Amino acid sequence: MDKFKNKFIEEATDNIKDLEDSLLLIENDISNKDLIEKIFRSMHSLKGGGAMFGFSHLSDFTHNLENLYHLIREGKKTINRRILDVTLASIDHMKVLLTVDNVSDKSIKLRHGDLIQQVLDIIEGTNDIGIDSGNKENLNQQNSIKSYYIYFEPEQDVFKDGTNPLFLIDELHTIGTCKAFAHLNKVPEYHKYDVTNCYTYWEIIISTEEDVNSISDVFIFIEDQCKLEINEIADFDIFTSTIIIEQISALSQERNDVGVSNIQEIIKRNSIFDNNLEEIEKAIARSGPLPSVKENVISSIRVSSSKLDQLMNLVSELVTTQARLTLFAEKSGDSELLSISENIQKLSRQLRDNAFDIVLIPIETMLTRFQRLVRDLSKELNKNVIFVAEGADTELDKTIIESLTDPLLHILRNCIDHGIESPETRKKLNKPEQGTIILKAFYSGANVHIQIHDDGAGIDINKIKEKAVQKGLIQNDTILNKKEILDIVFLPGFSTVENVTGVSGRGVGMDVVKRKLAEIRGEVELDTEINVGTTLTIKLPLTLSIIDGLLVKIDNKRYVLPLSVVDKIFVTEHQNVVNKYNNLIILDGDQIPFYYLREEFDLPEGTQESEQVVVVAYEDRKVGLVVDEVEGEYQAVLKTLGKIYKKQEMISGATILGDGTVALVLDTNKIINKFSQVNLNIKNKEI
Amino acid sequence: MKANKSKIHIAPSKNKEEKKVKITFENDLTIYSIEDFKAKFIEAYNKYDVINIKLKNVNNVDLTFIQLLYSLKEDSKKTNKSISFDFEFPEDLELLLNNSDLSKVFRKL
Repeated sequence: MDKFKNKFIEEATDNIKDLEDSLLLIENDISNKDLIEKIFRSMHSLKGGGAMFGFSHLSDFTHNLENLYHLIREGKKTINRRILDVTLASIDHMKVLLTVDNVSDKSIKLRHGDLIQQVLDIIEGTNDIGIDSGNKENLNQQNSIKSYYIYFEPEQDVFKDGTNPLFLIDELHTIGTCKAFAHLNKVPEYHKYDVTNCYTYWEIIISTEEDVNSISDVFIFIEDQCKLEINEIADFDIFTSTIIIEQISALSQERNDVGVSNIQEIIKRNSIFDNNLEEIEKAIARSGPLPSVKENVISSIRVSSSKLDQLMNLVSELVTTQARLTLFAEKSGDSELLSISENIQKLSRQLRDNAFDIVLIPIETMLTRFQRLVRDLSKELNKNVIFVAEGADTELDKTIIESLTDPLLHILRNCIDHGIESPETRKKLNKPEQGTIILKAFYSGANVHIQIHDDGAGIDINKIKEKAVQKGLIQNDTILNKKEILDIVFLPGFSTVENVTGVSGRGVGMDVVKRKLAEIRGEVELDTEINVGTTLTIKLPLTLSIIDGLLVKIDNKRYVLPLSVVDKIFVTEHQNVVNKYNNLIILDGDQIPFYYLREEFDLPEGTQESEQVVVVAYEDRKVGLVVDEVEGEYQAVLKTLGKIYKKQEMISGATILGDGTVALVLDTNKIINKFSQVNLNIKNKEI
Repeated sequence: MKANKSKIHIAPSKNKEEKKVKITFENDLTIYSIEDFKAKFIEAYNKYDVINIKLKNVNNVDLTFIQLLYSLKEDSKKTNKSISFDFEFPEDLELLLNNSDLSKVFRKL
């Protein structure tokens, strides 16, 4: 049973996520029937599954929400902000109920009761009939309900007497379940018409207990100023049949007038269907499955993430073993063995790429949380903020996605709390009252860049500098460029915010963000402009476990450089790289700064006549790294260095070579950063 | 007649080559101000190719205003002009427009 329970939890988590996504979408498209239907279905599944697998509180709780969305689906309620707020809060509660299906905890119990009451209040706020078809009273009521078609065309000068036809249609909604179809096809071209005239007319269907006279009473004050027809079209509530309403709605979109005869035809067609349902079902059973429906078509399967981790580990081991095999085959000189080894190498490379593809997941999986945060937090802080995501289909290793969520949430909190101004301030600054936060993800070589941009107040770099001097992080006369000043923001305990809020501003955060990102080999950069906004760019590797590398030798020890950053490789004379005053070398006609790694690693000077310069990309520039020898390409399976080397930034990991020896994987950016000494001296200073 | 509290604000793009304008309507968008709206709106409509209409702080809207927007939008389809729309109604007006099936006009815009 536990196995099924776990399966239900997985499915319910997906359902809850779908629900949350749909609710966030429907906020901007409140009458989108497909979304309403999707929300209803998700709730229905949660209720049914919950009851089946023993999540009784979840099931009961969702039942009320399902009732509410049934009313909305039937057009008896309209989605509004309150309904959305209560539903989103309910979703948060459902997540809790999914993990602890009991409400013994006092705070959970209170919340449970409160949310149920809120949902019931909304449901009871309706003037329409109930929805529980099993309720006898309602069934009796339904027996006396009839459905009518109304054609209502006000005369052109109806406005001149102060009549507003919209109020009349609104009043119809108070006497029954009603759906209006407005027709504007008679509105003339703008330069030809009298704007004070009415050119709109309506076809309306209403299901009500009231009779024709009561319906015509609604129009009593303009009966001489309009064309009005009321026809009974059914002796039952046609709104109980979603298919009838959908077909009428579809017809209204196809043509200017639906017409009473067409509506009657639709009702007739579907009533026949209802009456003969049993016979039709038998006929379907006789004819077998529909030819167009394929059975058992499974386009995707659910696999536990631990199994994927195991797969990745096995692929890593295979790559390491394959390197050993290649080396052995080369040494043996056996041509057949070499051929087999090459084939295995090819296959393991393909397997590696396929396995990578499996564990890459799109960034959009994180977006719902971000949208919720922006929605809820901006409301809490009385700000008006819209969240826009671009490149949501960009994929990253699932491990990276998992580690990325918290830093991004923190960054977004900062954007809303300190970046985006209040609507009043924005208005004064001639900015749109609604602030925008854009999350943009895109590929850049073997990396993924994620940018978070807000169009808020920006960061005052003078304030950062002042604060850094106050805290003793830098000297008053230290000369720093803009980037260096902005880097101070990522130091522990640094904050320019005067008021600490419940959301952010305690100075605990951006350093943690940077550290968390560094753990997944991510780098972070900040750019800002006062009153224009701030952009934070995170550069991430596509994957963490295996990289294509360049195997190099320095002082008889082997190192791996990520191939993705390597631009070119040159050979140069030894004397060109030693004892150089300015560490510049001319390669291919360009002057390139370089680092002689023997010297930087405090190793004795080499004795060979020539050196190899590996030119790597560093920010927007090219930098040369001088090594003794380049051995060639190598698939490096990255292993972490362990706690002792945690503070070692220049080495991103280690890999086992074919001969069983260990090679360190160098982080070229960190190496250049460190050796160029452009970094602030304060980097390791304690605060 | 009611006191006319309506406002229309026309803000052309600073980049004059863009032929872009933002027209903001405020407060009462009803028959009492529709003539004035129409004149100013059409003047801007004829002058610019990209028109962003913003409705804010709306406390009343009637069919005359909706018909005007509909008519111009229909015209824009024939003349390659672009009309975009940015609006927020209070809950009661939103319900009134939904009930009378006129919210679809804004969706189409």
